[in-house]
Amino acid sequence: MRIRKGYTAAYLLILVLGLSSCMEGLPEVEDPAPRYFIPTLAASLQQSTFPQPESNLLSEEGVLLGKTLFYDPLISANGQVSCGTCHSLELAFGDGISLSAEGVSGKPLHRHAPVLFNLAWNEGLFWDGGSRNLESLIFGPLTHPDEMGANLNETIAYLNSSGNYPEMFYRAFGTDSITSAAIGRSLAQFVRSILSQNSKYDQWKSGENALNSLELQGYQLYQEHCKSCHTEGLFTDLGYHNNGLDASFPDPMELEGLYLGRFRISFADSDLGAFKTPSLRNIAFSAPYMHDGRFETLDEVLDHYRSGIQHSHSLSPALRAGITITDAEKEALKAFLHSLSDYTFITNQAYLP
Amino acid sequence: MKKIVLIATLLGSLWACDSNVDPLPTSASVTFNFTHLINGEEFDLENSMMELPTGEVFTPNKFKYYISNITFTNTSNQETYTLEDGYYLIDQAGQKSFSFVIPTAAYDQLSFYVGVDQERNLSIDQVGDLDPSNDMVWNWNTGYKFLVLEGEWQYGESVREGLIIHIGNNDPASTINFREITFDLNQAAIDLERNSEVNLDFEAELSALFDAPNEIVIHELENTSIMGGEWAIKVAENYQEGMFTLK
Ligand code: HEC
Ligand code: HEC
Repeated sequence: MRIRKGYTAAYLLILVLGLSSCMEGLPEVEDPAPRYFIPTLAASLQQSTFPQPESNLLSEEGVLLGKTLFYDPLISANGQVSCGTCHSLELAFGDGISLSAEGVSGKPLHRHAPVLFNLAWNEGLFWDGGSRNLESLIFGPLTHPDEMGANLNETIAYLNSSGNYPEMFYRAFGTDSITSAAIGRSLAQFVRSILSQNSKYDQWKSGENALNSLELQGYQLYQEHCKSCHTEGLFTDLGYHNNGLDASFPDPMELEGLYLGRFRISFADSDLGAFKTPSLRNIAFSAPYMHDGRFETLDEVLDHYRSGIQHSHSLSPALRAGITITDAEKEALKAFLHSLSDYTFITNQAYLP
Repeated sequence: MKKIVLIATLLGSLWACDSNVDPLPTSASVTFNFTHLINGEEFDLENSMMELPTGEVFTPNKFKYYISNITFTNTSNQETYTLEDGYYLIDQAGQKSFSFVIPTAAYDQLSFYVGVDQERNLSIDQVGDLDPSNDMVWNWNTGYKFLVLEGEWQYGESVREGLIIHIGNNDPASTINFREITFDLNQAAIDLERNSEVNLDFEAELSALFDAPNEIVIHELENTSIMGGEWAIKVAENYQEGMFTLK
C-alpha cells in the first residue's frame, strides 16, 4: 500500500496528537481497574454478609476518593464546611453538639448529627429513615442550605479543575467525567466502609478480654430492658420506635413534617414521633443524645426511661410502664454501656485524611 | 401513432412516478412540546395572578414535572414501542420540549407517565435529567419529586401564604402517585407511519390540579404543603385525569 506524502504527514500528526492527548488526559496507570474489597467482619457484629449495591461496590480507590471529598470543605458553598465539620472521628463521627449551627448558613439544624459507623446494614438512613441508601443520602447534606449548600454544578466545576480529583475519579470509576452520581457513590463508599467492631464487648465475645462483674451485671440488665430495640450485634434493630420523648408532635408547614418522625415517611399513625433506634456502640463518645440532642448525659437518658416517658397513642408498648431499675442497677448498666466504646475505632488513622 | 406515443409516455411517466414514491420512513423523530396554562392562558412565573375555581388568587413561582415511560401503541395489533431510558424534566422556567427517535408504525395511541418508575426512584445517583442537581430530589427522603408546583395564594382578605405541592413516592406498597396518561393519536390526527418528523403539542392546564375528580380547596386545607399522603394522591388523580391535552 502506498500512502501519499501529504497523508503520511497528516497521519503522523494525528498519531502524535492522539498520543499526547492520551498522555495528558489519562493518568499513567498500568491497571486502572479499581481494587474491590469486602471488609472483614467481627463475629460479634452478628452479621453474615456485608451488604452493598451491585452498582457501587467498595474499592480502595472509591473509598480513598470518598474520604478525600469527606474532608474537603471546598465542595461546600462557602468553602468552609466539610462532612467532617459535623462528623468527627474522635466522637465516633458525631459532633458533640445538640443542634449544630456549623453549616454554611450558620442557622441551627433541627436534628442532631448522628454517629457514623456500621451503616451498611441500615435500610433507612437519617433519624426517620427517609433516605434509603447512602448513594442517595449524600446529596442531602451536600446541598442542604443549612449544611453544605453546594450547587452540584459548581462542585463539579471545582473538582474538574483541581489537583488530583480528575485522576482519582478515573481510578475509582474508570471514567474521567465527574458527575453528581460519582460524587455520591464515592462518598457512599467511604461512609459504608466505616466499621466499629473492636470494643471491650467485642473482645469479650471473641475471648480476648473479660467483662468485670459490674459490666456483666449491666449486660444482664441490658438484655432484660434494652435488647428488644437496641438488638445485640449492631446494638440497634434498625427499626423505628416512639420511645416516649414527647406527647405531642407539632407540624409547622415550613419544616415539612420534621417533628412527626417516621410518620412523614410512612404515613402510618403508629409511626408518629418514632425515630430510628440508634446504636449503643460508642455511646460514651456520642453525647448529647436523641434525635434533637436533648439529653446531655447517659444519666439523663436512663432517667428518661425510668421516669420521664411521655404518653401518646404511638408510644412503644414496651415502654408504657417505663423501665424499672434501681440506682445501683443504673450504674451497672452504664458500666456495660462503656464497654461498648471502641478506642481503636476513634483513633483509626485510616479514617482520617 | 402519435397518440400511442403520448399514451405510452404518459403511462411511462405515471409508472415512473409510482416507483419514485418515497418509501415509508422507517424511523421518525418525535418532538414533544409542552405549553402551560392557567384557565386557558399562558402565564409567567412570579408575575401572573390567577383565580382558581374555588376563589383563591394564586401566583405560581415554580412548576416542574417529569415525563417518562413514553409508549406508542397500535391498538389494532397491539404492537408497542416504549422509549427506553426516556426521563424528561419539563420546567416552566426551562426546558419545555424534547425529541427522540422511534421506529415508525401505525400507532394510534400514546401514553406517558408523570414521574419516575419505582426502579429508578430507589436511588438518585443518576445522570441526565435525573441528575440530582435538577432540584427535583428530596433532601430528607429518597427519590424524585414527580411534579412540583409552588406559589403564593390569597383568599379574600387573608394574608398571602405559600402553597407547596411536591408529589412523588411510589414505594413498593403503593405506586399510586406514578400515573399513566393516555392520548388518542388518531383523534389528534397524528400519523407516525408516514412522517419522519412529528411534533406533538401538549397543553397542561394548572387549574386542573385542583379541580377534578378531586376538588382541592386550598383555603380549607389544614396544611398548604402537600408532600405525600392522602392529599398527594388526590392531586395525582387530578393530573392523571384532566391536566394534559394533545392539540
Ligand atoms: C452541618 C452539619 C452536617 C454536615 C456538614 C454533614 N452532616 Fe451528615 N448529618 C447531620 C445531621 C444533623 C444529620 C441527621 C439528619 C436527620 O436525620 O434528619 C446527619 C445525618 C447523616 C447521615 C445518616 C446517618 C444515619 O444513621 O442515618 C449520614 C450517612 C451523613 N450524615 C453523612 C454525611 C456526609 C457524607 C456529609 C458530607 C457530604 C455530611 N453528612 C455532612 C449533620 C451534618
Ligand atoms: C422500644 C424500643 C426501645 C427500648 C426498649 C429502649 N430504647 Fe433506647 N432508644 C430507642 C429509640 C427509638 C431511640 C431514639 C429516639 C429518638 O432519638 O427520638 C433510643 C435512644 C437511646 C439512646 C440515645 C442514643 C443516641 O445516640 O442518641 C440511648 C443511650 C438509649 N436509647 C439507651 C437505652 C437503654 C440503656 C435502654 C434500656 C434501659 C433502652 N435504650 C431501651 C428505642 C428503645
